[in-house]
Amino acid sequence: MIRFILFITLILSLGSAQTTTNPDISIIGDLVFSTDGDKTDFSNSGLEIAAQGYVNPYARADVFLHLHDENSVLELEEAVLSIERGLPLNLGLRTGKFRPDFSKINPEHMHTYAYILPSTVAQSILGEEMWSSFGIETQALLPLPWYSNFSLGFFQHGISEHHHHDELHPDETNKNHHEAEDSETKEPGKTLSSRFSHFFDLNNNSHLEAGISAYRELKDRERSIFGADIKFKWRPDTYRSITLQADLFQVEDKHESLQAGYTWINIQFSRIWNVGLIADYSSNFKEARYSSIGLFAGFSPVEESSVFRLRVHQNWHGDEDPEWSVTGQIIWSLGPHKPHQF
Amino acid sequence: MFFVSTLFAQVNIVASTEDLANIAELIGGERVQVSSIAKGNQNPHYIEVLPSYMLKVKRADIYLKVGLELDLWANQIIDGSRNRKLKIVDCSKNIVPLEIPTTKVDASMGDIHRFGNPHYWLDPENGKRIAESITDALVKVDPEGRSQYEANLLTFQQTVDNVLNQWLDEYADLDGKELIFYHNSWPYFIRRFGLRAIQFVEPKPGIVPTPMHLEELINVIQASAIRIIAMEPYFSDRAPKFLARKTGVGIVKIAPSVNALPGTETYLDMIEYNLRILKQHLGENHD
Repeated sequence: MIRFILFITLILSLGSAQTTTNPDISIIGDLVFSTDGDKTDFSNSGLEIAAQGYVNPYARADVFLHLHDENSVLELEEAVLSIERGLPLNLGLRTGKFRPDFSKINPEHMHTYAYILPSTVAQSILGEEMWSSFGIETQALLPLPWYSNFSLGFFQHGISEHHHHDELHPDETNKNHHEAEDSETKEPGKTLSSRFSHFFDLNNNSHLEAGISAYRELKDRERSIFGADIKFKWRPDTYRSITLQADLFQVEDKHESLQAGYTWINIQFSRIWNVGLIADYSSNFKEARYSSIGLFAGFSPVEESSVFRLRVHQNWHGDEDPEWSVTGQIIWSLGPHKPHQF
Repeated sequence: MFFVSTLFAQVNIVASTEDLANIAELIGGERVQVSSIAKGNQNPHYIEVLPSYMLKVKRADIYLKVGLELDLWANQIIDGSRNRKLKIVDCSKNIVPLEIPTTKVDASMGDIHRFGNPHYWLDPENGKRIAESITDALVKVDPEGRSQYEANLLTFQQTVDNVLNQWLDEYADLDGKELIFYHNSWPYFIRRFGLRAIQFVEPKPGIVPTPMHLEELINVIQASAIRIIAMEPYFSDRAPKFLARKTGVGIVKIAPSVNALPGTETYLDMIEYNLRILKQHLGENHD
């Protein structure tokens, strides 16, 4: 499948451009270690390889491959053609495999997280590495005085419970699949998603983003997710900022109904240092309430090309004893696609 | 915030920087409405792409880019605007860049610009080149205004020639003067007015000063009797203040762009501000 996508991208570029301009190639690698006092784990370390560039003056292609760890296979994270200008009604179009515009966190790449690892609650709703699928999505800027965008997408499959170890343990995957069939829980099929987002400049130094999202599987589980998101940023100069972001979810399907959400605040108080807090909550995570809170910090000694991050985290799950963990990350980048401190 | 020139605009122009915006206003006169994305007191390398910028460009007829990879963020704004009628002008097209790398370029060199130093607007002669690019674009988008645009271009070019001659005379004692700059933004400016950048506070472009480099700068300041460090207002003055404590070197804030500092509200005011304040500290009768 990876070869097919790359072939299509190549054909499109040859058909549209008569130059030999190469795309931007980037690599982002990270070493992530987690410890809970008993054991130390490096399983979240990985590599992202990106090839990005313009196909023609009106469209660009972005391909992201992800190697989760040394034992996993290279996965296609995204391979998307974005037509930004040139369509009627000033529409935008994305097609290929990509992260749909659903919630605030879904489109974000993990290496941009100041808090290192995704919210457990967000993962429980959107998948271990968020939701990515083949599909087509159109976007329209609405004729309002402020920036307002509506996106609507149709996707081959909805949010799955895909895990990286499935490639290593196909027998276990098959077993899980058969069990899933027996329990009438299947891999979600065709899915619709939409998001209505707004952006407001509050003043010269701060802005507010707000959005509502909807997700609907068209058969099988017929799962629905409704989301509301908000992001506030105050940035008085280039290197200092305070950012607050939150996503709230209401999940409904044949088997469950739950409310969940996360929020984080990040304070970039100099070019090099940042600190923050992340918290999340789910009314029903593996049959019990779940909540967590984490404190994180980052150190970026040289631009955005290398970052050191640390997080101390505690979670509460049902009646179980609270669990704490310490997670550290060393992240580096080659090329223009970076961890994006600023 | 954004520089709006007239209530009766016909051609809507958005520029990456206030320098390009100001020159566009001078060429376009009452026939244009101009705004800029980056403010003069912002580091143009690190402009956060905001959806509100995309909305601004959505309504624009012309977008003025600095080019030479200074404003790469402009591409995302232009794409997000969905404006298929937008005329995009790279204002560097008539510029002869300085400091084009002649070796393999990679990140070990810091934030290097592989097509040459992009801070070309700081030479008033290049201001004339920028004005020519803007005039060409305006004539294409608004042919009815051709005579006015060309007349304004001629006026601008003559004004630059006149003030440049005046400045070269008035600030002649800056010729040959050595100083330290914070960032390598000034090759076009110092070439025009004869100054010498003996060192930079950044060891390499975009790289925070290291203790070893600061030690080296102390030696340079003392050995060469450097009087001032000239720096942009948006950089941290922590390292310059350290050097000032160790050596007594002065720190001077200079304007890399229109509206970077009070008294720099126009392109030519910005250039003269820098000359005046440098002469104040480096001239024969310096403070």
